[in-house]
Amino acid sequence: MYQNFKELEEKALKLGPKPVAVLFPDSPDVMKAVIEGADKGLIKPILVGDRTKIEITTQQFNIKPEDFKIIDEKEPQKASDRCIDMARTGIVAFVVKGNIITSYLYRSLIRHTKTNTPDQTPCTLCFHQADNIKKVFLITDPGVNINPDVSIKRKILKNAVNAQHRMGCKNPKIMIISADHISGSKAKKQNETDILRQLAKDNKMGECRLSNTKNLNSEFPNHRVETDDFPDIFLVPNIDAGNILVKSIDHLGGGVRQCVTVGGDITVLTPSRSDRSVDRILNLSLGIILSEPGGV
Amino acid sequence: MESFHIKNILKFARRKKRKRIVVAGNYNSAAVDAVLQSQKMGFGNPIFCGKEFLVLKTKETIAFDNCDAACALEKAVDMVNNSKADILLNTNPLTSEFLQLAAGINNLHSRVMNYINIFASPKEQRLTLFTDTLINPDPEISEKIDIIHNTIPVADVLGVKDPNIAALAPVEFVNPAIRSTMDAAILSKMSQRGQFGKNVAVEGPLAMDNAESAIAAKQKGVESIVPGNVDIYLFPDVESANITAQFLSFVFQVKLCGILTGTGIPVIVQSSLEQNNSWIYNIALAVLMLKAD
Repeated sequence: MYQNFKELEEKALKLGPKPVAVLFPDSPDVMKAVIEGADKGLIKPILVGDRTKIEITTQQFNIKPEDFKIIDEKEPQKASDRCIDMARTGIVAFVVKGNIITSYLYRSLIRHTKTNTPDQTPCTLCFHQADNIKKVFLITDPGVNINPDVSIKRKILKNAVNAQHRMGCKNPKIMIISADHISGSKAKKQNETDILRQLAKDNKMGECRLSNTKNLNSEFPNHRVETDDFPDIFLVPNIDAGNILVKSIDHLGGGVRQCVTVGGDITVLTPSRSDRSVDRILNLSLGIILSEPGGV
Repeated sequence: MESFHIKNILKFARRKKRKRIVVAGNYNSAAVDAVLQSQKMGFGNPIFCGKEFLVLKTKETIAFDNCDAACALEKAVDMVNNSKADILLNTNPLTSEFLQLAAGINNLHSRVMNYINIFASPKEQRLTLFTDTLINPDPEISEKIDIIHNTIPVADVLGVKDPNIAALAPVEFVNPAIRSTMDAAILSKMSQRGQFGKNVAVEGPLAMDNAESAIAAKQKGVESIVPGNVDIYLFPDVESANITAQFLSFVFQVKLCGILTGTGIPVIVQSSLEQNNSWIYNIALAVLMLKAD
């Protein structure tokens, strides 16, 4: 289990380099991370996108285009499908999102999952670091499933538990987090939580345990958060709550956010297009740990 | 950008005349201490209501000293309705029964009630308002309009005359499959037409990263004065607002205070998102919200 992303990066450096497909690397921040990632021995990149744009971007960094393998594919959906296919066939360990709208990759991943592993569902997993918490914790699903029902939530949790196992957390604690508000459909929520608790007991999501509480107010009534009791996985009720929360953690709280999208046994790194190269390097490290067979 | 400290709220309240605060509910030492502190600071004048407060060694008389906590709350509401007190402080955790009681305080106000959390953003120490963190599980567009109307005056008393409002959603594109994006787009258009005030800007849909960063917003094609300059975050639903506030309060130890609006007159309550020491700020906020001085 990693206390922070620095530890994770140190481990990733020992495991690299891994072959990766970088989709649309034609922005300075993406290209800088690709070059630094390759220099550090984290990745062996295959660049996928518009060759002309890629070559123009590489020139900004005084490197020759022939230093990297380039697959020329201008059409975003085709390029995205190509990357997912390279991951499916084992040519690359994982896919890295570059300067492209995430929905192209979501579409490719959803299609792949439906065709090849219909018992799974793709979802986004955001890993976080916060000063007061001495471990990397995960929030899901802020990206793919808009308003998941209980059967989708089980599949999302299975992905999350698997990811935390790979991160070395063998028995992750899950909180099915919700608002501590005045009124609302508490009965439905309680029912969902009970079902998920039973599924966890029946080992339908891998080894894990569910918190008895549904919010931080109840888990830490004295307002002092303890790392040992802090959940390893938070399942949010919907995409609104998940997406706003994960972005608040770094943009408002000053924590760190690193996101991946998984599905059909494929890992796709899904940083924000606005992420800087330093964040993207951390993201590469996360990809390496998660794509390591059996985890570390 | 002017940096903001939560203590500014107390400074603003001290400029106001004393308000009569009727305190009812179960005995709560943190709330009692805070209301006595408001008296010392010159903006509060407590009236304790109900036998729960007979334990107090205070020179103040206890109103309705034969009433239990529930009865005292009803009597306290009557006192506000009959102008025998200015503000009601409910020491109990907020319940739907109390909201019904609070809704009846002033019949002229039939708007939606919403809870607003206020804090200095940890990264930039910017005054920030979150709403609705507590009351409306899944507000319709008409309710969101009321929530905005309720929240603008709170920003105003804190010195923000024409607030920038981010109508949050998970993405910055309008997507018919995600209702929050549709609602945000409508609110944004209403703002362009001046429906929230000539200089109030509502922008949406905005994801949190584009709301917080003008650069991120520009990269995603959003041209607006709001990104990077948000005063009020309007959340799509109570789940997104409350969970985000939970993380800020518990994980990042951000000091939150809060106010319930849409009740006609200020009501002082405390949510479980806030720490015990927020009572004094909640009292000061309610004092600030009273127009007459």
